[in-house]
Amino acid sequence: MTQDPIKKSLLFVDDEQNVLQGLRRMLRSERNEWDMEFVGSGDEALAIMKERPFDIIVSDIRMPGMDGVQLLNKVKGLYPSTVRFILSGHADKGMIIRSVGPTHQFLSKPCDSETLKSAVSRAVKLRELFQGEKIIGLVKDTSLPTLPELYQRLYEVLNSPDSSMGDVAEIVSSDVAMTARILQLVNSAFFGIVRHIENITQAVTLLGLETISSIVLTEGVFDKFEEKDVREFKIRELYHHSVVVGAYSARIIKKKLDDHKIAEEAMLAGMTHDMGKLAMVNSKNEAWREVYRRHKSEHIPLYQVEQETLGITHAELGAYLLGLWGLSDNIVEATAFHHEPSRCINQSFGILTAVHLADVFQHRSTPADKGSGMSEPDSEYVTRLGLDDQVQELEELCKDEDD
Amino acid sequence: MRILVADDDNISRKILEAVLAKSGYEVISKKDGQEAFEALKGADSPRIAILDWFMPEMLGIEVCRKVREIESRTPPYIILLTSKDGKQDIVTGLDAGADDYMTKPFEREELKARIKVGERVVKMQQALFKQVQELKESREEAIKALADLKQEVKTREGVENELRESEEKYRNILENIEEGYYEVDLAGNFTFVNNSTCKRLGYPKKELIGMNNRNYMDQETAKSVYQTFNKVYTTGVSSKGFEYEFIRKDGARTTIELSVSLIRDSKGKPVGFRGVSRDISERRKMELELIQARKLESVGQLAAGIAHEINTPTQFVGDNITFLKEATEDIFALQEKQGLLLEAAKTGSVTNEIINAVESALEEADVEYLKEEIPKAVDQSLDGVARVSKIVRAMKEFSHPGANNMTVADINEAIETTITVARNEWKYVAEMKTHFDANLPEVPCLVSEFNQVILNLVINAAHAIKDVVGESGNEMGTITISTARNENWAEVRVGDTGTGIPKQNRDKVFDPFFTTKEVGKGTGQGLAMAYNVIVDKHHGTLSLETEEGTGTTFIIRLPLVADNDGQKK
Repeated sequence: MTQDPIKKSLLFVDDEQNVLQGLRRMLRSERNEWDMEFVGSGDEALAIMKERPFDIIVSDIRMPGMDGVQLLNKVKGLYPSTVRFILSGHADKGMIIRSVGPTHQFLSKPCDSETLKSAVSRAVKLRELFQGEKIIGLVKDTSLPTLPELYQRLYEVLNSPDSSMGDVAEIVSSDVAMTARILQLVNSAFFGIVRHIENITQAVTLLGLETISSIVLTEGVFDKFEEKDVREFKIRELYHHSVVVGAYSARIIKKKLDDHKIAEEAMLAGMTHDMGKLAMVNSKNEAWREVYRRHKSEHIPLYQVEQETLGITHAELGAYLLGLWGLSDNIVEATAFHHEPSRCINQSFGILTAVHLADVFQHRSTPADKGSGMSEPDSEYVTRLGLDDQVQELEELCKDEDD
Repeated sequence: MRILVADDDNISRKILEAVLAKSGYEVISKKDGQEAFEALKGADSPRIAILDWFMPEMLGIEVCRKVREIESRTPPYIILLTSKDGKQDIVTGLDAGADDYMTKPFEREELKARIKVGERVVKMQQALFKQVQELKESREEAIKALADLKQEVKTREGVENELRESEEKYRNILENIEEGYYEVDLAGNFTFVNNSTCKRLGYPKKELIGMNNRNYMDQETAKSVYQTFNKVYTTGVSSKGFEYEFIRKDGARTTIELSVSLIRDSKGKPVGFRGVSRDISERRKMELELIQARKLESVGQLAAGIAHEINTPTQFVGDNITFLKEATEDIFALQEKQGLLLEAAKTGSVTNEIINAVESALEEADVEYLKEEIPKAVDQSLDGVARVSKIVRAMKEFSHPGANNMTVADINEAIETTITVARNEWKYVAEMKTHFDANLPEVPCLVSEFNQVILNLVINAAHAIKDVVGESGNEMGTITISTARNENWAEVRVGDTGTGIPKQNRDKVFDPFFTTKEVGKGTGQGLAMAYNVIVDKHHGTLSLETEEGTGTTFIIRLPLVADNDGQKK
């Protein structure tokens, strides 16, 4: 079979022939966009993937022989750039949690055609937008490191009989990796939560301590950061930067839009905007480390060195992963364009604006980053939005509240 | 006896000495008052003293006074000698403590006589003292005896108290235990009951004492009670575990478990019965609730699987309907174009434009594909809907709280239901083969409990097979369930191609809490419960054939004719 280079290739795996046939018929209307294969077992899936690459794999969990989690784990290792979805009718929480590691998104049966199509389309779009294939080709392992002390504290709090949801939420929301993963889970269809959740306390409450506990303990979800790997990379500085940018972003939104909900989402966007750096440093990619060293020694903004040398940036990687995990477009957009918001299609005031300014404000107050190009806002963007007069006021507002 | 003589006048003293010595007395002579006092002061002093009034150092009267001051158990008998015979002197002498007096010169005979008096007084005094002494001793003895007695009394009081306390304790226990305690005479009249017995039967104690057993049970029960008690009477062997239905004062019925043993008098003659009763109505109720709870629990365990069984067909039915909707739209669009073509053909005005439109609609609709796929989509959807309704119906039947009494049931259907409900538990490891005897008559049974047994056996079979083929092996085992009539029995066989049961475990499989599954996977209750349901409740048999490495078959046999006794006991 010859492959149409423009068509996206999808692989569906399910042991139930009726499900495969139903999907085939239902998705027939997409046949001009998508090149689809339907196979009945993990072994068949691996066999066909050996012949040609697939952009997306959608697998059932419970299957005789190799189950879906085992399959996705193998796919993750062999073909890391393939986007991995679960489509399962199983109501067993334990199995879903087991699958968190290798899975980008969970869809639960019965899944209506619109949900399935839009989830797949979004993944396809993300891959195009952020050069997903290239990114993953470079990074491969995209697991995230957590701060060992935060992980330890969370572990202790979860094991303490008198800890509250509030305690857990507090720890999770000060950790970039945990924040992103918890949001991924809470927004997965499996947990049956219809609204989109962009608030950690709410997410922790909805998932429950038991589920959070299982996720934390599940292998392959969080890595502990190895500091010795890249000496120049200070993970604690990044965490500090993220928390501050989160807080600033929320303040800017509150001031300008006076909307509590958007402010909360902005806080999360600020938290996760540099998540790509974490994935990069954790991937043990030597080329990126070299890039990072150059950025440090020559005082050139990291994204510029990345763009120049690798052709992709940590912002794109972060945006791509957050997008695949089902986080909101606002967060994905803010993460992707936080260096150069003028490149974004959306040119109105919003979370991206807040995160961009917050990022600049934080860099300005960090002596090492002064004059590195990261401490100046995107002037074209600021002017277009008519914010020239307000930047200073907003910066004061952000920093005043620190006292 | 020794006598002290004190006189400063040598002649007078010599005379006294001589006279007294002649009379057989031992004489101690002193020349002055001081010496005399010294002699009288000691412990072993003479018992009689004759003191001259006038003496140097100390007057006789003075010696007398001073001797009297000394506390002594045996004071000397003192005779004062005086030459004066003035009355006043005599009074002064006696006042000073003298016992007697004589005037000088004295006559020998008088002296002897007066000494004799003194001797008598001294002796009397000694005797008196001895008596007093004896009296004292006996009094002390008496006091000691009294004290002993008091102690004895006290001890006895203690023992009595303990006895009383212990009796009270046992009475309290007896009165307050949940179990009823009773004693009846040989005629069956209550002679003693505790509070629980009263509460159980709903009568006050005073009404119950003397009441005959026939007053609180129906005739049939009374007959059976008589038989039981009579047997205890004739054999002397105690009995327990009898269940009787008693009628309370308010008319309500209560099921009571009874024990009975014989009371004999001191000569060994039977005089009545005693025993303990226990209300088992509550236990009965709890047993029922437990069965229901177990059933709900297994439904709960099955819930995740059942959800999967429903979600899967719902998925493809939805997909097919989406497809049918789109297909219908395409067909209608095509049909519209074809309608235009038809119109044009009628009027002979067919244009290339119309033909092209029809052709492109034909291509759009892909009619060949639709012709092939639409019937399949419809069939599969119907199949999916049937699957959902089947499992929903099976769930409803399975979890239905069954009647407590035996009803006749089609056990083929019951087994089919259970297989459906448990499908998700076995379908990944085994194929299910069923051989149902279509001619099997309906079997009297407790359907929902029977379903539970089959469920346990099927899940066990699946687990045994999983141990052989592995969770994610590509092979499948086989579970075979068959039914057949075997004379007056309905026989159900549930076989698996699993691990088989090792020899050392074969006797233990029906024991409660015996399990070889890892913690959290099995409670060891499944087969024990199955045994209870089949053997105890249905009076059937449950056995097994097993071979290690080949598999295990459980064989249930249920009697086709209901045992009249089957619902009780």
